[in-house]
Amino acid sequence: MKDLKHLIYFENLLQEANNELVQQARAEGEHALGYTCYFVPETLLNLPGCFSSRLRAPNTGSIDVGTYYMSSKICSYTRSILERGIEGGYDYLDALLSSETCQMMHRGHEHFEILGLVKEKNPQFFMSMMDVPFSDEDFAVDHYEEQLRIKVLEPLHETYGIDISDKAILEAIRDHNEISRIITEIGDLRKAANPVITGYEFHVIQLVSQVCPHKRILPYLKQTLTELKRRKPDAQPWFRVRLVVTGSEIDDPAFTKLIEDCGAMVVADRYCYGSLPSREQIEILDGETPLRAVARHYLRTSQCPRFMERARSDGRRTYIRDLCREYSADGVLYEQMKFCEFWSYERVLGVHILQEELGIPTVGIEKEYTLAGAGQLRTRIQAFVESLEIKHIQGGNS
Amino acid sequence: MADKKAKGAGNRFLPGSNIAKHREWRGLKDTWYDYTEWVKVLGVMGGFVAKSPVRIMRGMLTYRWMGSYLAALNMIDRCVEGLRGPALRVTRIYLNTIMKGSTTSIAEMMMGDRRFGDNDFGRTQVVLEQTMCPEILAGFPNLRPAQLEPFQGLLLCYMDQGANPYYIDAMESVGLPADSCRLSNNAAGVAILDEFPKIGACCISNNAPCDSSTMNSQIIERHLDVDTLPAAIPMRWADPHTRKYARASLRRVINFVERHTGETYDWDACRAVMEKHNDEVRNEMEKWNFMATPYTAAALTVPNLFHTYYYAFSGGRNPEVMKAERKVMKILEQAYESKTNCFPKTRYRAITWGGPPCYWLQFPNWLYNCWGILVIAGMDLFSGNVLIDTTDEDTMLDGIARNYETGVMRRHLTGGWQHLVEFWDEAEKFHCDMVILHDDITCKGALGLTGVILDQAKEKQTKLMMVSNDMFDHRTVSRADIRQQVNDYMYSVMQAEPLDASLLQYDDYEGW
Repeated sequence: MKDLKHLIYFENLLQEANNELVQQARAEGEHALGYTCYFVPETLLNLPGCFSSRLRAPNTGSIDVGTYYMSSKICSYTRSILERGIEGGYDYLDALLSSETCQMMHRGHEHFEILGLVKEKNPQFFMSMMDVPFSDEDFAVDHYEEQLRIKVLEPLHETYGIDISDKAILEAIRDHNEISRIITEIGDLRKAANPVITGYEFHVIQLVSQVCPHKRILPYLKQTLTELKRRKPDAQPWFRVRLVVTGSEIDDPAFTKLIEDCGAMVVADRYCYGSLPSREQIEILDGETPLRAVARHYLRTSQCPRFMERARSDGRRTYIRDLCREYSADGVLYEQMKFCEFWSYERVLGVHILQEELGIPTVGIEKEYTLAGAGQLRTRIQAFVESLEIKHIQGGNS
Repeated sequence: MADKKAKGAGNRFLPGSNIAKHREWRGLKDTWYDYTEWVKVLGVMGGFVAKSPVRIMRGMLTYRWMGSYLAALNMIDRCVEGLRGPALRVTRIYLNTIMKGSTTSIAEMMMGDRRFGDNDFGRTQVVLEQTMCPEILAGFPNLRPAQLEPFQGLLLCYMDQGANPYYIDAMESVGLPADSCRLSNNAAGVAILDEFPKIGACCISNNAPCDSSTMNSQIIERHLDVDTLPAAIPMRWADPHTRKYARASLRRVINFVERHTGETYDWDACRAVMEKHNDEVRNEMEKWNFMATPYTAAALTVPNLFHTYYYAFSGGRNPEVMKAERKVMKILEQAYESKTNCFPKTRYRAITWGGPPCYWLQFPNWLYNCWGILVIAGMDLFSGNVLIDTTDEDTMLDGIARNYETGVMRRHLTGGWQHLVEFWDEAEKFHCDMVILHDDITCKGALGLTGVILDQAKEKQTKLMMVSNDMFDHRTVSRADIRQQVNDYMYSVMQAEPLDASLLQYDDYEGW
């Protein structure tokens, strides 16, 4: 296939958190709001006058200082974010919005407060930590809505004078829906038998939509969608099998590339920083305020393993099964960041249920934030791809 | 191995196991007292079997974990090593109460176990998972709380260090990484091996204390034969804006239990039990006043253990708790008034923090006997301890939620980093000159603040000793490894010499 016009530009935008578009927005007086977790709604961080910046630590090398503070038994993503914070890589931020949803990331963010990170460069910088419920019942949505108001909206208004009226939130929802529509349209191209986009390209596109100011990246995304609609696929599919990738935090497109280099196209991205979920339309139901709609949307679309109730737990597996059907996937790759408590159990349970109860070929892998150990991962993925091919040859799942 | 040249308490044990060749000689009076208390425990165990001999025997043959409880007498004897006079008596009173309560709970578990035949008794039980305290069931006077995990986890590990690795390995064999919390890993292993009793009308699981317990609950639930509802209470519990949600979560639990048992919540009954819960809490705080003095008769492992026990199993329901506490308070008062030094070997006063090596419950006894380090209090002592306002339904629910939010391990690992580092203040309150930080190598909530604690230690006068452990898995960091860490610290940092060199190192890897 012909190269995408903006792909190299997008790849360059992913080389550092404080990228070209972030710098432009900051120069024009917009406030940069950092976050890492889905439970901090990106939508509310894109109120007029501010923009969301989902934190990554690209090109991470040594994380010795992060390891000193958090020990070597904490997930390397958290340590990398902390290391980058200590290095000054997030000094462009005006606020860090967080939630006590995952113990390790929560601890990582607490260091911004304990060590006074960013504050030296930007005295107005603040960090806010939310409580997020473990249920999605109405009383839980009430609680989440209140937390969003108290921990996100009001501090933004008080510190930076951000308009947090219903009208402003409505505008942010429109912004979310527009960018989500484009990303979803691009993502849906992966459903074709011979797609005009690779999993790697989509991963890059999805990531830039999360780490760049929406208004500034949107024109490029629109152009890319138009280009993709006209793009001619290769005569024959380049891949041997189609995979759904699910798991914890994955923000390195090189991982998707590694999978695709093994002959498997990543057709669906159900992981933190992926598009499934995150790029659904936010609907405002009758009688709902815009804030209520945002709270309900994020709580009920989340696929986080911390939702303990059986219906949600089973729902996560049927969600993956449905993705397999919708995207014609041959198998599932369950990824877990090393040391992640949530996803270690979820991977074990998920692999077992998908494989044994739902009959979907599944492999579980554990990885570090950086692609250390890429050789071992490649071997495992290659073996899985071959096993799927053999199943194809044998004409079934047996 | 023990230093064969050194004579002392270490020579009392058979190498390889930790079985004593003979009982400890404490002088005629204390040895006789200790022996009669030992016989009482034997009686408690006999009474346990007598409660339902057939079902208990079937339980022994069905559940691997039950066999380890035969080591209970050893566990108790090790908890009183080196103790004399008032300290011995306080410890024995607590241990007897724990034994009575625990054996009753296990017996009731067997009596209600549907594997051995369905009966009405089983349907009066409500299963409480992991560290869920029983207060929420106080308004159901006809129902009995049945704690699920402690007997196959924490208490099991106290009895027999070799028991839990079997369940840990079961989970690891299906792909759970070895870095996952051992407590949760163990319980999930029990579940997948189908070794939880089939009891109760329904189960209340929970999101305490941490991420891994949130996750293992989802595995356990799949292996129970009753409906489960998580009592999912706030993480940011110190935030006043979480109270409404906390109350609503518990109201949901009450509705769930009502639906599954046909019982109606009785708020007056709840109030009556909460008043007793408050008596337990007030007594605890009063006891701390004595513990802060040099004349305390309550120290080392057992006062902490007793607190954890009544937090998890009583919550105001078990009258034996206050009966024991009244006896203990009398001894504490007498020791204080007569200015008796109940722990005469003391050279350092310490507080322990973090997840301890549960496979070495008697680690504080060793610290005392070998190095003269008197462990006054441990982190779990500061869990719960919530005085519940019994004014109305909302205040009671609020208090119950808070008691649960601040429960064992959760109090210090959630809701903000400040809670974990409270040990500096607690050490000061209890006049300790040393903090022993249990570095549980799988506890992510604590590990995440390692550097901050080290930074703080540089500015403090209180000595900080970090000792690694693997909570339920003695194979990773053995008792000998723990001893070595302490010995190294004491020699190199404190420049100290041991009180009893025969205890410095010995082989107990294969022992209970």
